Amino acid sequence: MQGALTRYRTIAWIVGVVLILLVVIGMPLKYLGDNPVVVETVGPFHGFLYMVYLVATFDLARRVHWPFSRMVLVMLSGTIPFLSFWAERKVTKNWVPSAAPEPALSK
Amino acid sequence: MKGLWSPAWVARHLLALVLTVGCLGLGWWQFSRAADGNSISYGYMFQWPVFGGFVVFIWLREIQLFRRKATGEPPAEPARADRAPRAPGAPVTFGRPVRVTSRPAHGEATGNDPELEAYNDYLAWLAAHPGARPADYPGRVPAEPQ
Repeated sequence: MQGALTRYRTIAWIVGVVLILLVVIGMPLKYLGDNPVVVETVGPFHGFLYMVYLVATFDLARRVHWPFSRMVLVMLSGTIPFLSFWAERKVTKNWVPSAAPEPALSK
Repeated sequence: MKGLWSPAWVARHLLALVLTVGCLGLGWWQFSRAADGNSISYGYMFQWPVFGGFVVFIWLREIQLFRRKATGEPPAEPARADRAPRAPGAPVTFGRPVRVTSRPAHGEATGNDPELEAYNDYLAWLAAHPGARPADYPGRVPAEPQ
């Protein structure tokens, strides 16, 4: 479960950052600056990363027995710039049991 | 399978249908853009059907789960006690291998094997302290009669 959570958090962060690159840098460059190079390189890359994000979210949802609607919600939240980071925090804090990053193995 | 046509399920079927058709349509749109000379659209043209396929996969799996639940079949992954949610801060209680000294079986069942009694005491202590680790065992309580 912790492994699935780590995979989800990692890919959620990557997808969030790439999405912001795309929206904040790429799209103004393409539509205002007429320079589509960022969109052309990062765009398809983001598509594949989002596939990985979907699979990781599905895996996590299956392991922690989320309701269907919550899984869809988390999957869709990965498409919204900036909100994806908040969703990742929400998932880690509230929607995954025993989400302590380091279990107290020894004292 | 009457339950698959409840309002909630009809909404899910519609959602799956709309998303799948939408993904395929967007793939087709990218194909037309690619045919018009927008070479980057070739990449998107293949990505959109994959997303559509993922929607179909989720849809089929939800139906499968629902049918399993309806027929009373046990879930594929039965919940185990050690997979139960752990309170934050509580010690980890996963089953760890415990090394114990073992002896060839002889002379037990007499009830006065001190090693067996010590081991039973150890097991009882572990059972009484579910959060504890084997290394936390303080040893035989001296007050207890041998």
